[in-house]
Amino acid sequence: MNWNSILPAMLTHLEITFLGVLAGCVIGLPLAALLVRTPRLQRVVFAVVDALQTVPTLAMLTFVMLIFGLNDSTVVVTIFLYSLFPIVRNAYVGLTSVDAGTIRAGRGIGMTPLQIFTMVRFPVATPMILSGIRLAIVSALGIAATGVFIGAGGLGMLIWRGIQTRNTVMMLSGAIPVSLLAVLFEYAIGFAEKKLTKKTVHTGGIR
Amino acid sequence: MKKFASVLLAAVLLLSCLTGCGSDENTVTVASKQFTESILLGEMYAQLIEAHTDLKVERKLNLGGTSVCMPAMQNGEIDIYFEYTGTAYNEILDQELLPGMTADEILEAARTGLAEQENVTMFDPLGLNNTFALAMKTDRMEELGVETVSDLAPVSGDLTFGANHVFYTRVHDGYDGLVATYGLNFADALRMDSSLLYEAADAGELDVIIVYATDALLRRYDMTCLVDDQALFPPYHGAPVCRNEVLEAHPELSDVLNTLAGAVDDVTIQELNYQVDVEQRAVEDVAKEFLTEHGYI
Repeated sequence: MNWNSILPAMLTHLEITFLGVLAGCVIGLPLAALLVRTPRLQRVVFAVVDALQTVPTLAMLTFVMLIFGLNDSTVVVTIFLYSLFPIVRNAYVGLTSVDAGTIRAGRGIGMTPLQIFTMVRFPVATPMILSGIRLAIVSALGIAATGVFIGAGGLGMLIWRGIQTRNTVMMLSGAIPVSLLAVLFEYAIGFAEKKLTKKTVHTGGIR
Repeated sequence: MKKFASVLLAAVLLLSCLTGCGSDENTVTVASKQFTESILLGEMYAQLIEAHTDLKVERKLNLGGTSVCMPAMQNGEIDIYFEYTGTAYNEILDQELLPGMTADEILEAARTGLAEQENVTMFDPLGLNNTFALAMKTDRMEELGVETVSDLAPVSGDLTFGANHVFYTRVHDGYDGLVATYGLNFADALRMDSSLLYEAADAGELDVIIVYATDALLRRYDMTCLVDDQALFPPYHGAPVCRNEVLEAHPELSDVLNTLAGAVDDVTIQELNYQVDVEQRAVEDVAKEFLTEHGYI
């Protein structure tokens, strides 16, 4: 086992995961907001997002590889595509779960639609949005490990070479960091979720 | 919607700039599929090229099989990898492997087809024939008194079969072809990654598994290959393949890629695979030792 190869692989793994989910947030969150305002797009968007989720990982990687090549960006794009499902679904549910009376009250005190969105809908939806992002990150960590099959970096090489050669130590030297990262994110975002929920209750003006 | 489209485009461009730095003229990319033999031979060609030319080598070892390697080659993403005649003929050229075809016939057809259809050259085979084989624990074979695949027909109802996913998807020489040719009717047919088959067989969970004939683990787990008496599995002789564009730009590669022709037979590669898979030696070291011992580098 070699720490010098595990640490860079772990950083690459994190970078791939982070960029993919970040792209998922950049596209997915505005998309969910758009769906709240234009419900007729819902069926189409959810059909596409759901369909993406059912594509097997290696097939998706191979397809994306034809456009982006044998490198980390193929895995980033693949993670982006898979992250849309939890991010858009959760954000949409969160944004639409606001009590209609609360919205009416906002309107009643003269809030503009934008204010209602940023000061009412969004704060209420934050815990749901964060739990969507958390799901996306945890599954992205697993997808990033499959990236080895299209020549990307990350911890996948250690895991798969370990499995292929029945080298348990090598396999675990890749698998344990992936699990640790998953647990770490799970807690970190869970913590942020709690903090933010508290904050919105005190300052978000929902009451 | 326009705004989202432009954000998407920007994100995509940013990402491709971040990681997709273009390879320069004097670099060749050597790839391999995701199993030890392919990785080992890919590493050998990488070391040979580094030793005998001024070219730099980028390694893309451990890619997900022919379905990743060949499209990547068509895209110019990879230049060289180690392919098998049967795979080229059947999977890439989509030709039916008919019983009774000789190894030379398939090599010639694969060569011509790859040249015409993919603009890729297949070099002379190394000698190893990594075909599929059915394997069982040696003591179990003795107990049942089977030696050939045909012998399995009367007892297959009591046996559990296991193979990797790829085997079930092969049109002509996969699972369907196997049971039809030999009249087999297994109690159960499971699919799992190749690396798990041996342990499942060793634990008695599987009776008959699909292996590659050059696999070092047969020795480790005391397993024997059943004789393919109906010649279902076609020859899979291994040879390096290279994009013609790259050969034109760097003609010196031809000699290098012919270095190992006829020099690595089944027994030799089994031994090398054994060093990696069982003795847990590093691929780079095993490749280097072999090449040095035989005076290739």
